Formats: sequence, structure tokens, C-alpha cells
Amino acid sequence: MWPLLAILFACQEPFGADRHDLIGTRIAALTADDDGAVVRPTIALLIKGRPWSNTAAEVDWYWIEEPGQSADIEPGAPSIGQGPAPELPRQGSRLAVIVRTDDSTLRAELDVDGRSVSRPALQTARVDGLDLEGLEGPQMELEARRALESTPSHQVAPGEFARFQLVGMDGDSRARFMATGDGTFFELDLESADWVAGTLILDDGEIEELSVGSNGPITVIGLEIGESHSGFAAADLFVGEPPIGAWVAGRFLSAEQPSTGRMWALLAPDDLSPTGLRLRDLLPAEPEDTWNPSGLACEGVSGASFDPSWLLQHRCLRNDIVGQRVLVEVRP
Amino acid sequence: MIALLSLAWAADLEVRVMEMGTGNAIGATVEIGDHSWTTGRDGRLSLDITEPVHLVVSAPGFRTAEVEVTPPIDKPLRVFLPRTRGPLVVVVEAFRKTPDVSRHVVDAEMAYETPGNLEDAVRLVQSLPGVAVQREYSPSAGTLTIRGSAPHDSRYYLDGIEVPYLYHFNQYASVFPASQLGQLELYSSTFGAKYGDSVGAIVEAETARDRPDRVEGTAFLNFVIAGGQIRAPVGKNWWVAASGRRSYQDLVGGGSSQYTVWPVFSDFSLRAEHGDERRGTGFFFWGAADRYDRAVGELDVLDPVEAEQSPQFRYRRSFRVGGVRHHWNSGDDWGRLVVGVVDDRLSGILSSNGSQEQATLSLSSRLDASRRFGTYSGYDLGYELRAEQTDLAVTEPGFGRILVAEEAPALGRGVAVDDRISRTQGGLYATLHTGFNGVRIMPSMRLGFDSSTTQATLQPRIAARWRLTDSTELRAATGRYAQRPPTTLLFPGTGNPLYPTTTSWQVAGGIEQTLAGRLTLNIEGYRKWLSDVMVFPIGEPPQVLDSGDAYGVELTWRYRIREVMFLHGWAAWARSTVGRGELRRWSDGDQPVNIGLVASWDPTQKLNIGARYRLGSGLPYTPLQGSVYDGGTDGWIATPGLDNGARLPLYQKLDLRVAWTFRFNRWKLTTSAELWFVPKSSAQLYPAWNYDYSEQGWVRGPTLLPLLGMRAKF
Repeated sequence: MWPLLAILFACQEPFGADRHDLIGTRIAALTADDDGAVVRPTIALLIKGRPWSNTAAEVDWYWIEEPGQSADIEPGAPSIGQGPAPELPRQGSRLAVIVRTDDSTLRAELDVDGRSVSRPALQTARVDGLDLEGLEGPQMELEARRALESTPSHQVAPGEFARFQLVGMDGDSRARFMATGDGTFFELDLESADWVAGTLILDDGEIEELSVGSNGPITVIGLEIGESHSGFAAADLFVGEPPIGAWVAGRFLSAEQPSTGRMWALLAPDDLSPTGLRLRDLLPAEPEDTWNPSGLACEGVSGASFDPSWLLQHRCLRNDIVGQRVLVEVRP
Repeated sequence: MIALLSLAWAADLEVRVMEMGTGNAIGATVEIGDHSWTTGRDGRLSLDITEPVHLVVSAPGFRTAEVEVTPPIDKPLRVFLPRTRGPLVVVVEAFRKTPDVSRHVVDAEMAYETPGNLEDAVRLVQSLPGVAVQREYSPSAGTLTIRGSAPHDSRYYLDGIEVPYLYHFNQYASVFPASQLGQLELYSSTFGAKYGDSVGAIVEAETARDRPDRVEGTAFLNFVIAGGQIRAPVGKNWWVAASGRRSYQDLVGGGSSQYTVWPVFSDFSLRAEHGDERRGTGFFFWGAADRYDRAVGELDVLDPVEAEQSPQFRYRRSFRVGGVRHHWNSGDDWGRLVVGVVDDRLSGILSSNGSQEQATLSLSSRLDASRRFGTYSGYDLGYELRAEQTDLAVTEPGFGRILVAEEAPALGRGVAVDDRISRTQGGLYATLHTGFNGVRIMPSMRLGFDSSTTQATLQPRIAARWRLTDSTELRAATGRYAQRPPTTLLFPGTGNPLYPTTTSWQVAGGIEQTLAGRLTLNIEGYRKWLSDVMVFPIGEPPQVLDSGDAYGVELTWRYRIREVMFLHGWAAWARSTVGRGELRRWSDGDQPVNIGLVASWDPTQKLNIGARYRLGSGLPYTPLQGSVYDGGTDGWIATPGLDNGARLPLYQKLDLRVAWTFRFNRWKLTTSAELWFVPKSSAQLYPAWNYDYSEQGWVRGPTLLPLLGMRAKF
């Protein structure tokens, strides 16, 4: 039956992108550790649609009083800290950052009181029994999708559905997802979402538009959003068969040969790889081999193995680490 | 012409002559050959018929009927005569003697036959000069912004009682039907001392007071609402009337994901009247109700999990008014006394947390008495009194409150409160009428009082009319006006008991010219200066701005032959601003250009055709200049640009109407078809932004909309 006329006949023009789309230059996430005296922020930055960059963005930090106040700060104004991973003296409760690249100026804010950074893990899987081919509207309803099983996977065929899940979140948190590439998200519950390689638009449960996407890699970022915890994780997924390479902390680096376990490798550039990196001269590491990132031209990084997401956090510039020998943990 | 008949066989022929379409008895002449007889006033006549005869039945103002009768006849012969078109009555609505120099009048005929009006009395006000053209089906579609004033600056009365709210859900229909309407008057600004507590405009509607001769009624149906009314004489001097309307889509369609309880709105009225238009007493009871349950936020733009978790908002709003009214009009002595009780309730409950329960019980009374001594001398005096008690409870305002702030403003402001305010407000006024040689001068004084402030307000006003010739009149008026904040804003915490009184000095003047006794032309200019202007941002406490001002010029023309045609139009230029000191911005109702043309014509008694064209500059809105990302919520905080620094595109709308009336013996059925056309360039309803406010688009309404309706009258 027709609803009231205004509801029936008013329509909104669709916009080109929504919040799920990692395109252009964008602050994808902002979180911070607050120990009461010092605040250590972490940022996830997409530069021209890529989770890595060869050029450093200018990152300035400020304390503000009210939400939205960073809009009044002139880019380049004296700040209380610079760079992607500073240690800032606690001088307020709301932190603002202004990121400047050659074509964008971006602003973000965060309430830091008692906040700590969480480190959830982002798992990728293929949804069993769901495909754009032959898809009907009722299959996309929440209860129908929740009943479907999924199989861990780093790849899906064109038209197949992937499922992303953020695990290890705090109890009161929920997950938000976004991705590069050409796909459509359908949230499933507070910690997971389905994604299809292609375009799928539903209207009142009926399929309005459907098209299969193309092959290639995508990078997914999952955010944990909670009252006092927040964090993010990244993972790569291939639509179609991935090339030869290595999966390191959920991210893909192309390589000359398959490998697994702890490996030494030289970092090389690869613009077609979702991390921007390729591994060369892979050699298995000995159990007693150790490594630390102090020799890398990166800011504020630590750990026993190389993490490709340091480029997403803008701690490392791609070309600054090319040619460096690193230790990687390769997982299937 | 041969009328509709029921033929009977009897030696004694009883003839009954009645009006077609109503069944009212007619005094008529019945001729057989060279003989003629006259019926009684009840239309009855008995004849002794022994052979076939040819009857000719005639009456002044009706078409003659001829009928063949052959005995035997055993039933009365009923003859229905259709009315012929009477003398054309040209209506010149001018040269009143009141101090309200900016006044426009509409009546039931205009309400029914103005295209695009949906037979709604209050929407008809939007077809009057000085009233901003609003975009159909936009959030402000039913808003009355008159001469730059905000909607809350104006007052709306029905038979002297202030109406708690004007429109049903989504501003589809106003709360009182045109079928009850006798006439509606709009005082755009600079009105006389009779009205107070307003720095905007006054809309005063009056119910029809003509006594019905018999039981009569109407029933109507359109896409959204159905209803009817009935009027009937009772005894010698009493008559009663009842009306009711209800939306019906909930009965046939059920709910949706957005509206889990489909919107239902209704209104009713009951009246018992003694007397007629000259003198009478009426008892009335009328009211309206709106209810729905909806998901907070627009489910279409939320992800599936957010949509599943979206809180629900339960909205209930209603009012009831009961009272008594006495009126008199003996030509040089007229007035009314009204006493009424108003019960106004609002309930808004958020499932996520938070509720607003608001109830106002008020006793209202007013007296308006006028007397004239001769051509120029006389007085108007009276009082207006309202004693109210308002209870407001806002509990635990939580998530989603901003999204329901328009329906539950106190909940939207986010401050818990549980309190009661008793308040008495009103005014005393007096106007003297004096003059000479075509000049009428009307000084007046209104003393306003309000228990929410210790200061009474003296509001001197003066108006003058100068009849230059029989067809030309100059008018001018000026005066002081004052308005107190609404009671719900005086509660501590959610409001402020110390909010100031908004005051205004206003001036208006113009000239009216009647041409050839038919066409009326009027040009009028006005200016308003305001102090302590209140504005109401959504979800925030009201703000008080130092000043506001509005000015404009209106050219209007009218031509009307009652029950045949009306043609009126206007062209207006107006500006209005508000601000603090040097910082000014356009007011929400600033509309530089406003043009309209309305035409309605009954070429025959059965057919009505009409058209209405309106053009208005786009109203201002505040643009957004991007946003700031909030890492704690993964949301974006919009960065507003200059207050009201952008404008909607120019708006134009053309409404076409055709109606056909089928007349039967005792009733008539009018079917109407309308076509609404809005060019694509004007179809924007309101702006919409993408997720990070970096792109702006529009929510668009239909460009072409056909509408059908039916009205039966017996």
C-alpha cells in the first residue's frame, strides 16, 4: 500500500562513495594510548587511495576544548607535536591532528581521557553458499546471512562474498570496516561484516542493482570503536587468484617464491602489491636469529619482525625502507 | 427542459416541488393550460386530475419543468427543479473600518476551489501575499512565515481560542477542516490592539454560523484522509454540527521498517448553537490527535546492523478544546465573548533512553466588543486572558535525542527536568474611532501582562484610513508589539525563566484602488524593527539575538464574482535579517521575491476549473564546509559555513484543477482531479550531504503528481 505521499515520492540522489570506501587521501583511523601524563596517538592514513606512500605528510598535533574546534586551526599553526607517532604531554582531554599532503588538508579529533589502544586481529574468510550469481533479495537479510558458515581464506572469486571479523575486541566495542577496491559491505553483527566483490544495491529487501567486480587485491581496515578502547587492524584480500607472495600479519607482499615461517628478505618496491612491497632474496631464518627495526627509517616502531602496516600508520615511507633486510613472519 | 420525475397513478394528484441536489422545498407555480395554482412554502399542492394533463412547473431562480401526468395516480408527484445561475455578485473585499490595515480574507469557497490546496484552510494562507512560498513536502511545507517573521512569532486562533498546533503529521493537513470554516483572516503585520503576545502575524479562523434549514452534510475521500460533517436544526432555534476526519492508510497498509506504527492523524468537532449569525450562543468541543512509532534515523542510509539496533521513537500529540461562545451583531454593535478550556498533550519516548511528557491545561477567555456611533465615531474594547498550568518531564535524555529534537524539543535539548509552571497572561485593549471628511483615525492601546515577567507592556498603536474617493483609500498604521517566550522554554535547566520579551515597532502603509467596481488593486509597504529576537537551533538551548528587521513591498490584485470565479495575485519583494550588532544574517524566512496567481472559474454549475502558480526565491539554509573526523566514534563533525549563507534554488509550482459536480435529487457528488507540476530545477526539498560532508546533494520531490478526490454533499 502506498505510504504517505512525501515518503513515497521523495528521493535522494546517490553519492559516489560512502564511508566504507577507502579512496583518495583519508584519515581512516585515529586512536591513542593515554597513561595520564603522556599520550601516544596512532593514525591510519590513506594517501591517494594507497595504504603506503613515498612522500611524507605533514602531521601536526593540538589540544582543543570542544568538538569541531580543530576546524578553526590554521594549517601549519604552531603545534604541540609533529609526526605520525609522537609522545605528547597531556595538556587536555581532546586531541586534534591536522594532516597535510600536496593535495589535501585533513582534520581529526579524539577524546583521550582514559583511552587505550586495542590491538584486535582482522580475520578474512569466504562465505559459504553466497554468490551474486542467482542471488535473491531474501538471502541478504540479516538472519539469513547469520546462518551461513564461512571458511578462512585470503581470496574470493569474483561475485563471491567475503566475511571480515575483528576478534579480540573489548566487550562494549563494535567494529567498523572499510576497504579499497570495488566492493559492497553488508554488516553482519557488532564484530563482523560481509563484503562482495562487485556492486549490490538493495531497496526494501529487493535487489535494485547487481554487477560483478573485477579481479585484484583489496586492503581492508577494521576499526574497534569503544568507550575507552579503540584500535584498528588491516588485512589484504584477493579477488581471484593471488600471485605468488607471502602473507605477513594478514598483509600481502609479493615474492619470487612461496614461503612460510620466519624468513629473511630484502624489501623491494611493487606498486601492484597492496602493501607496495615485494620480498626478494628470501632465506629461512635460524631459530636464534633476532631482528629489531632500529635500522629502519621509521618512526616509533618496535617488534621482533617487520609489520607492513607500519606504512599504513605512516611510520615508514615505502621508498625509505626499500633495500632494507628485514625479518618477516610468513603465515599461510 | 424535462425534469426528473416519479410518475404516479391516482385521481387526486399531490405535487411536491423541491430543489435538485438538496431536496429543499420550493414555493412554485403549477400551470395546466390556462389555469395556474401556487404551492405552499412547503412546495406542496393537491390537484384533482381526471384525464391526462400537461403540467408546467416553474419558480423564480429555477429552471421550468414540464411533465405529462395520466391518471390513475396513487403516489405523490415529486418535481425537482435545478437552480439557474443568479445575478452575478461582484465581491469587493475592501474598505473595512478596522484598524488592521494589512488584512486578507479567505472563505470556504476559496478553500475548496483553490488548486493545490487540498481543501485545507490553513494551507490556503500560503496563497496569500506576504506569506513565504514553501516547497511542497519539504520539512517546512506547512510553515507559515509571514512578512519575514518566524513561525513561532505568529498566533493562530479558531473562534477566539488559540490553536495549540496547526498541522497534523508531516504537515499534510491542518487540524481543522475547511468544511467547518466560515472565513479565515490573515493580519500580516501591524494589526490592531485586539491581538497581542505576537510580533509576527495573526491568523483568525471563524466557524460557519449560518443556521441550517434541514439536515445536511458532506463526506469526502482522497488518497490519505477521509471524513465528513453533518449539520442539523434541532427545535426552533438550536442547531448542531459534528465533523470528523481520519487518515486511513494505517488501516489498509500496516507498518513499515521506518514507521513501525503507521502515522495516524485525526480531528473532530462538535457544536451546539443557538441563534444565528446576528446573535447566538454556541457550545463547542473540538480536538486533534497524531500518533506514530518510527525508527530514529533514516534506515535507508544506515548499515543493516545499525538499522536493526536503531532505537524507536514513540510520538503522541493531541489537544482538546471545549467551551462556550456568545456573539452578537446588530450592525453598529457587535462582538463576542469566548471562554474555553484547552488540554494539550505531547509525549515522546525514545527506546534507547529518554522521554518527554508535556501537558498543558489552560483556561482561555476573550471579549471583543465594538460599537459605532455614526460614520466615524466608535470604540473597540476587550480583553484576552489565558491561565495555564504546564507540566514538563524530560527523563534521561540519551542517544538519538538530537534526531527527535523537532518532535520533542525539550528532549532534544538533553536536560532532564520534572517541573510545573503556572502562568497567567493576557491583555486589555481599547481603540477609539474618530474622523472627518473621509479620514478615519483609530488610536489604540494594549496593556499586556504576563506572570512570567514583572513588567507589563504598554503597546500603543494607531491606524488611519483616508477614503480619497469612493474607489480609493489610503491606509497606514504603526505601533508597538511584544511577545513572551513559550512556557516550555521558561523551565530552569532546559530553558531559562529570565528570557527577555521580544519587542517590535512596526509600520505599514498602502493604497487600495477599485477599478470599474470589480477589480481591486492594492500596494502596501511595511517595516518591522525587532529587539531580543529568539531563535531555536535544533538540539540546543534557544538563543537571544539583539535585533531583527523586516521590510517589503506587496502588490496585490483581486477580482471575484461569488460562486462564479475568483482571480487574485500578488508580487512581493521583501527582506528580513537577524543578528547581534554588526553581525547580521538573513532570517530563516527571508524570501526576496514572491509571486503568485490564483484563478478559479465555474463556467457551469457542474464544472470548476482552476490554476495556481507560485514562484518564490529559495529560502536560506546554512551550508556545510566539510568536516572533522572523530576517531572515537568513527563519525564526522560537520563544519558549518556562514549562518543562512546559502539558498535553495528558486521554487516554482503550477497546480491545475478540474472538478465536476453530479447533482442528484437530494445530494451532489463533486469529483476533482488535480495535477501538481514542479519543474525539475525547483524539485529540491532540502539539502543532503554524504558521509563526511564533502559533497552536497538534494533530496528531491516529485515533479508531476496527479491527485484525485471526492466530496459528497447532501
